[in-house]
Amino acid sequence: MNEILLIVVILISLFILRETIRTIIETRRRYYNEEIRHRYYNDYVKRKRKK
Amino acid sequence: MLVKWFVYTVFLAMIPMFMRLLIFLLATSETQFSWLSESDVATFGLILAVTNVSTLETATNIEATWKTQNMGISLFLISAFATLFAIACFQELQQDVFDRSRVLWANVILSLVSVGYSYAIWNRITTVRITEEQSDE
Repeated sequence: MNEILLIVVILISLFILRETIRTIIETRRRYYNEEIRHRYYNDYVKRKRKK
Repeated sequence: MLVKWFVYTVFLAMIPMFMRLLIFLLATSETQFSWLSESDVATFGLILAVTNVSTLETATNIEATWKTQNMGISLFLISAFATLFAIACFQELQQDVFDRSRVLWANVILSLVSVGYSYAIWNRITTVRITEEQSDE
């Protein structure tokens, strides 16, 4: 009974760990790129206005 | 961002453990008293999962599917920690049913994973908010 409890908890932990890694990677890939794009776009607009 | 998450979730969730530690330090040396209890670790994980639900509920501009998926996982974690808490309480009443160290390890493993999961959710929500604010400018 104790072994089953520990195995079930380890399986749940692995699933949560997978979701954690997936969320962090997805956040970095999607939103950090968007942040950089906005930053470059703002710089581009500023340069155009100066001209 | 990291400090805010640590103070509002992890530190808050660790208060039951700190209180037990304080009682342990104040108790006399003859008292048979453990400084770390399985139920405290289960409470720690339970608070983290409940904080996830409240953070997801109040978050704006978040994808509906992602929100629903993580809400489901957090609710599942709440039920898992509630079960572990019940086992910890049951073990105190009848000590020969569950092995204390295994119950403690099960709680510790799931709680540590929950810390990472809580950070991933917090990180996503704050990153979305910051990105939205920047795009509004």
